[in-house]
Amino acid sequence: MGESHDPVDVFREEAHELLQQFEESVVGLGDEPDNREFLDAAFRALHTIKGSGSMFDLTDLTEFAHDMETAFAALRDSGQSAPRRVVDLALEAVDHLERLIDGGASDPDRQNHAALVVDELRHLTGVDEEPASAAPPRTGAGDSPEVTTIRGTYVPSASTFLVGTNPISLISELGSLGALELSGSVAAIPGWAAFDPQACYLRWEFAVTGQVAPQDVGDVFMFIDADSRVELEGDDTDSATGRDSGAAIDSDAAITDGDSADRGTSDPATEGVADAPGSGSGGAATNPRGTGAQSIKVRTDRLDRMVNLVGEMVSLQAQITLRAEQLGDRLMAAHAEQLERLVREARGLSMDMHMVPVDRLFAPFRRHVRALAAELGREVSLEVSGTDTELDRNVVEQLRDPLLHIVRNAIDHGIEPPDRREAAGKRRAGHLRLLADYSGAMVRIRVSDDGAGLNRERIRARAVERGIVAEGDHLTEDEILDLIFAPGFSTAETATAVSGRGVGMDVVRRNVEALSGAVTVRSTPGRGSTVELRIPLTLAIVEGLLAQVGDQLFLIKLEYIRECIDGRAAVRGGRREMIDFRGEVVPTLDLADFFGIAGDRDDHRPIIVIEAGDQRVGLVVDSLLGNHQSVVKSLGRLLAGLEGVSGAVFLSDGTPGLMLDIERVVRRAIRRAS
Amino acid sequence: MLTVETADTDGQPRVIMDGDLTFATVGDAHTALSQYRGSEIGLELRDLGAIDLAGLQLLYAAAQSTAPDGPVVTLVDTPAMARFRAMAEYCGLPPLGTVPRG
Repeated sequence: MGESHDPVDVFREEAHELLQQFEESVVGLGDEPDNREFLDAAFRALHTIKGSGSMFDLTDLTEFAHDMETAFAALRDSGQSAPRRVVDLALEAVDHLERLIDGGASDPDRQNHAALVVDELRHLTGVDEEPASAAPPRTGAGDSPEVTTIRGTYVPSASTFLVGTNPISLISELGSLGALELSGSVAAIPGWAAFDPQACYLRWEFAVTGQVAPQDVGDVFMFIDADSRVELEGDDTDSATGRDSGAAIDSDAAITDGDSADRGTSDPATEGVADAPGSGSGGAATNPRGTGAQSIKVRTDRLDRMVNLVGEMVSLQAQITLRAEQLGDRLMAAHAEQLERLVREARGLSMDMHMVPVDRLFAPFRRHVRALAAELGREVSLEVSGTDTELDRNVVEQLRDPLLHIVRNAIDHGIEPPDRREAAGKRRAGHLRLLADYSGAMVRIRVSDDGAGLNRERIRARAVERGIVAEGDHLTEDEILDLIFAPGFSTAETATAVSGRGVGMDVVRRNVEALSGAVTVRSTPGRGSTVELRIPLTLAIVEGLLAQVGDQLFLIKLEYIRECIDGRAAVRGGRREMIDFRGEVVPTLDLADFFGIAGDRDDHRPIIVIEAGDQRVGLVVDSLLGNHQSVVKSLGRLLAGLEGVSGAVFLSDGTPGLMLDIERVVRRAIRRAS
Repeated sequence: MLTVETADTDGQPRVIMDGDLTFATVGDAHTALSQYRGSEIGLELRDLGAIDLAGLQLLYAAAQSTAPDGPVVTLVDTPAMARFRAMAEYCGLPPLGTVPRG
């Protein structure tokens, strides 16, 4: 077995993805109770979770998923709309399924609640007379007169395993069409001497009962190899000679991941478990004939390690380039240049592999928002957009809690109760929007609501009351809003079942800034508020401009830099120094003053004009050293509290430098200037 | 990867397999078991990694195998074996060990 390659971990990761599909489908059903695709997708996800769980002896998970699946099968077979209560119950069950997948300890209260959820689900869907059972549901179709049974035989070719077809995936897909009766045979396995362990000798007879057409069953076998046979009873097209699947494969050579994912048929029991070539581990991943992009699953720790290694390569390559320049060795310089190209490409690829769609972050909010709205007595419609925007996987993980807190605030303190909204001439249901988009090398995530907006007078009063600002302090409108992020501003909150945390907005800002990001808020009384997070695309490797102040080196990320200008051209005056930058008066911040770096300096020093959000500041430094790529290291405990710095970098000769926290530096400079 | 060890339990040879039992490793497993043609052996699966239908099929072949052409294999019931039993059940195949030899 490979290093710590635990198939259960692989199963869990994939089961979580399936659970997310289930959740999304159920939320979709809430919006469109008659949408069969949502219903089928929810059923398929449960079916696969159950089947996979049983292979890992996760009995509690298997039983619970089975009960849920039975309820959804009954709902599907009944042909009726999904009642609102069924949707709510199914979403309640998601948390329990999540814990079961993780193999968490069983809390009796939660178990009781889960049992009640299942009981009510079964009652609502008309299966309460059937006792819960862990046995796989090979029977139990509904009694609807529209239900039909399609019988068939599947005889995989001897080369089935070799070409990467996975019969288990096909079985799972058959099961998703309706109640499946399955009878497999091992009779064709020859004696030991004649047995070829890589040939397939298995065969199956099956009967699918449900609202299903022969074509649906035939489609399951669309991509099997030409030598395999499928015979369906009563289906002339596929009878006797079997399905000629070769044409289907050839005519649809570029089978992509999307095809498989859309069908929701991936079976983690085999996809994640069997990673050997030709083991049939996953439909799209092992499509043997497709010419389109194929995919494999990679453990995240390996991916992280690779990104780190590429980061180290970037640093080493910079050292080699520098050394070649110092030696004046043209051949070495040429090699270094070539190396730089390769490393740059490797860096781009490794960063791409680390990116995930922001939907991974947003998806659970469809459920959270429903739960929060119900808990807080609000009506909320959620709009999610920009879900294809990609972010570093690690960033996504670290944004979950901050985003949950912001969303909770928006519903709790922003969106008014329905009656009050009506009285104010608004629609009863508040509108909450989660939006992601790119802004240069940053990703912008915005949470907007059309609620009451923030009350600046109350914010200011509370800040004074808590000693954050003095009564007489002059603050701009934006500065007052910014006080909600000040430590000590938020009252101690009680962790709830929904938030599960109890963090204040100061913690939100701290977490976002730990990602070298920034958080700001805008608000219009009576119209609503928008909290905006700006997050770097990736944390792995940064490219910046290296500047020197005294003996200290600073790295400023390129995406923040507008221009470098000659200090002599600047207009200076007194303590509040300003420069004329293309007709705009921009405040400056002398990094020597900011960090207390002593030395004799004149007014001719270069100025780096940086921009964060819509604010610009000129950073005065002693000298500019050029571009530098680096892996950013954490500061360690000693320097963790150093204001204006977000990480450490190392030069080719090992000299340490500090990466500036531009967002904070800009805020500080603006505050000083105003 | 599949590792194969042998042990002697109460006078009967026992083949102990540890690791992946998949399409990629069934050839090795088959070779290892073939060394005991004509003998009665126990087959014990321990810390299994990846498994698939090819691995399951090998277990059926082993359980059905008879002397003198093949080993006479008894499948030792272990937690790892339970995973294959669950796979068999999911796939509607007969329970492992219930298929007559020969």
